[in-house]
Amino acid sequence: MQTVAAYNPGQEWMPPPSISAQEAGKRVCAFLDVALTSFGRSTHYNTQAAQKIAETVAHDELLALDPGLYALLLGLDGLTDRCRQRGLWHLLASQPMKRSLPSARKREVIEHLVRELPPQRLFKTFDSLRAKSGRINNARTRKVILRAVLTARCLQLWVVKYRRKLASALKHAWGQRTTSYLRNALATPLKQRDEAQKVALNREIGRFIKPEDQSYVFECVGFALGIRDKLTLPLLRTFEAAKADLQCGAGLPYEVLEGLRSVYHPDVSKEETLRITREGLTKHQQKTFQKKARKAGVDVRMNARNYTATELYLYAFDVGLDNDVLQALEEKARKAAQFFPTRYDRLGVVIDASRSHEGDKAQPLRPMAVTLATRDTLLRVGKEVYVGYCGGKLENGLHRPQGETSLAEVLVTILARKPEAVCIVSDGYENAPAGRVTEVVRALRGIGDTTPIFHLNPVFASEAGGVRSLDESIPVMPLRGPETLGMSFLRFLVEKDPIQGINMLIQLALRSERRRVSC
Amino acid sequence: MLTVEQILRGTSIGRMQSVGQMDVIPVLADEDDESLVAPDLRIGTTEYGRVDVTHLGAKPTLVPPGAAWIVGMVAQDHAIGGGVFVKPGDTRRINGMCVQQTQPGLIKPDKHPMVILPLPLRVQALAVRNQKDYSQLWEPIGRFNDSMDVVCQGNLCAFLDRFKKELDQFVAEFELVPRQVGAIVLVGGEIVGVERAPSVAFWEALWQPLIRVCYGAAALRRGRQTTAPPISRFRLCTNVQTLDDLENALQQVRNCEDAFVMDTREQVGSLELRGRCSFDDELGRLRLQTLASPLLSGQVVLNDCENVVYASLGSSKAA
Repeated sequence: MQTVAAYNPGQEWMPPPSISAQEAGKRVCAFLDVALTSFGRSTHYNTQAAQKIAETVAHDELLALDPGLYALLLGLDGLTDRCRQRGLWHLLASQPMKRSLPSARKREVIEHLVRELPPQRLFKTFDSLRAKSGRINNARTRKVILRAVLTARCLQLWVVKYRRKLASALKHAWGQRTTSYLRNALATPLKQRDEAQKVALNREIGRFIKPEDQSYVFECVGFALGIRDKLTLPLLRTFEAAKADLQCGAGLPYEVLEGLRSVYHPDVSKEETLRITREGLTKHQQKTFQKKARKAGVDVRMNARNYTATELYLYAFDVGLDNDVLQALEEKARKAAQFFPTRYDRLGVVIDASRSHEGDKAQPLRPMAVTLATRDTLLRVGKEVYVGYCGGKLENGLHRPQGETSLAEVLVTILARKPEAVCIVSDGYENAPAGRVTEVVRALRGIGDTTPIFHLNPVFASEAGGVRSLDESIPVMPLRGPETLGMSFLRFLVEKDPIQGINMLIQLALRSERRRVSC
Repeated sequence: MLTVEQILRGTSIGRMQSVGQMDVIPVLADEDDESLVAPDLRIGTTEYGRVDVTHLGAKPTLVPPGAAWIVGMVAQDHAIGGGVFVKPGDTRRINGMCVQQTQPGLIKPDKHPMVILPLPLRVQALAVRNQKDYSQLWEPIGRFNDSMDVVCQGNLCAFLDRFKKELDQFVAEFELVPRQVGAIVLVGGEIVGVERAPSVAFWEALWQPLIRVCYGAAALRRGRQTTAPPISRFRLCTNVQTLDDLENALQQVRNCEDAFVMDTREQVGSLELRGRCSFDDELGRLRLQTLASPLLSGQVVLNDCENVVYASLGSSKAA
């Protein structure tokens, strides 16, 4: 059996003897569904708890199939951060990984995941390792935490922005006693440190970092552990200065300064925090604070090209479409279309704009945003593209979800235009009535119409253990956004021909790895 | 006496949604009635069989008949039989019933999520709403649980836990449509409920509790009795030769569905319900009355112009 752990590019991957190719394909498909569409939050359909259970099953089953394949697929581009987070947790916490994956390989994958994860998710993973009964605290985990923190490019920013979580991660890695000892050592002026303190600092911190970074890292770690005097680093000094005078806080992240304002300057308005920090807002904050900024009369610039098409549609639903956003959407659609696996002379697209695409309070309008972004890309992969909408209401240039789901009628109308293929973008819940698409497809095939129909689904359905299908004869593909359409189509291939599909996925993952290494 | 036609006066109906054994015909209204707002409740118990309800909204509300609170704490879940008006900021102590036989403890006041009792239990709870016996629903719950192969006496939560996934799916599968203020609900092709709320917002607040537990339970029970599609389900003629034939077949089946909806509306509209001369509750211009007929029973709210602003009628045969 060729497993990924000992992967030889010249040979084909095969499942273990106890698992059939179909079962292997099913598990990989379930994993891809989770990896591309599950965000671990509630949806219009499922509670958060139900989503988490279904995610766990998908991760566990692929892990049991082949830990090496699991590790490799975690390196695919386009996975959700949540999937990567779960993957990191499994690599550090799960038993099967210890047995079946060479250490060097495991370390590579862990380092990749640590680099890719946003810091909040990274610290959350470390937290969950600490909280798990039995406290996962082996040597590898400690090294991962320490390396991730101490060699972080933005350590100075992290200690200001995530100081409690960072301190908690360090305490997990070092233990309470060692942490206290190190804190005392760091608080001791350099010239007064004794040999034991120097050895401890070198053992616990120094060995992970370059010598020239030592004073920088020592000061950051000290700050995280509560040392506030003799600060030399600019961001740390700004943090302390802002406690006395909020205006000195320019350069701090918005949320950090807002935290200081609420504690030390409660009589100052929140709008003042925004005014002071507007030049340093993150991309995400530039987008989400637009309404707040306009209300407060603060000019917060955002560059629409810094966001994905889905993010731009979410922004547009909130604030409205403007020329800048429209242009950016056009560019993104054109770019995503370049990576689409094929081209058509005539393509049909059925858009589900029914009420369920409103999403849930946790992710309002996300399904609709993904759907519209994908529509824009599909509009550019055919010479003629016919689009039909099921439900929805066009308001100020945007289709807002409303109404029931009667996809069958729209499908037949589109088919009358004789497209070469039809893409249905839908969450898979049909109710006017349920099963009508199945009846239509059966009738179509009965009259000899073999037009390929694909179903792109932007929503993870916990009760289906993946993305929900409209009909068993229509391949359904998870859809994270137009940027990952290629991956969605690969999922179709895995379902149709599991061995070929999985091997293609492996090649794709290895290409991603080689690209990362060469960068 | 009132007819359902009178109850639904001023509304129209939308396209039927059908999944499994359940059909929902939306009831639509062009204007909202502002006399009642959606319940925004803090509830608790200080003794078994009595529910203290505080309304946190800015205008009066109606706590719907059959409302129940399944709390996650170590306390006995409770339900009420009949609806009750509550003024903004006011607290009312309502005669209720325990729905968790084997769990002692009082509910700490909080904004606990509300459900509506499964249809068979809702009807029974309404019938005994004025009797002061906190245990009176335990046997009916036990029978209901038995019918669903849930072995747990008078604990409604046992049913809800066992069928959580299926009940969640009902919420997923049926969608609210614009201007919707109510629904005619069918299970197994038979009318089991007529609902009307004063406003779109009120209906949106009631929708999930109704569809998930109240009517969802009825559909689940029916689904265990038969797998045959209900008579409300029209099959598309798939014996077609061309795409044009398929389009025509789709239109035909749609016409059949629309005709069924109109017939159902007419059929239910002609139902007469009778009630006592006295009212269950009053608040300003509004009166809450209990009505019954061989097919449907429940409660309605009338204003001083004898217009119905709220109605919740469930199948009398469901019990």
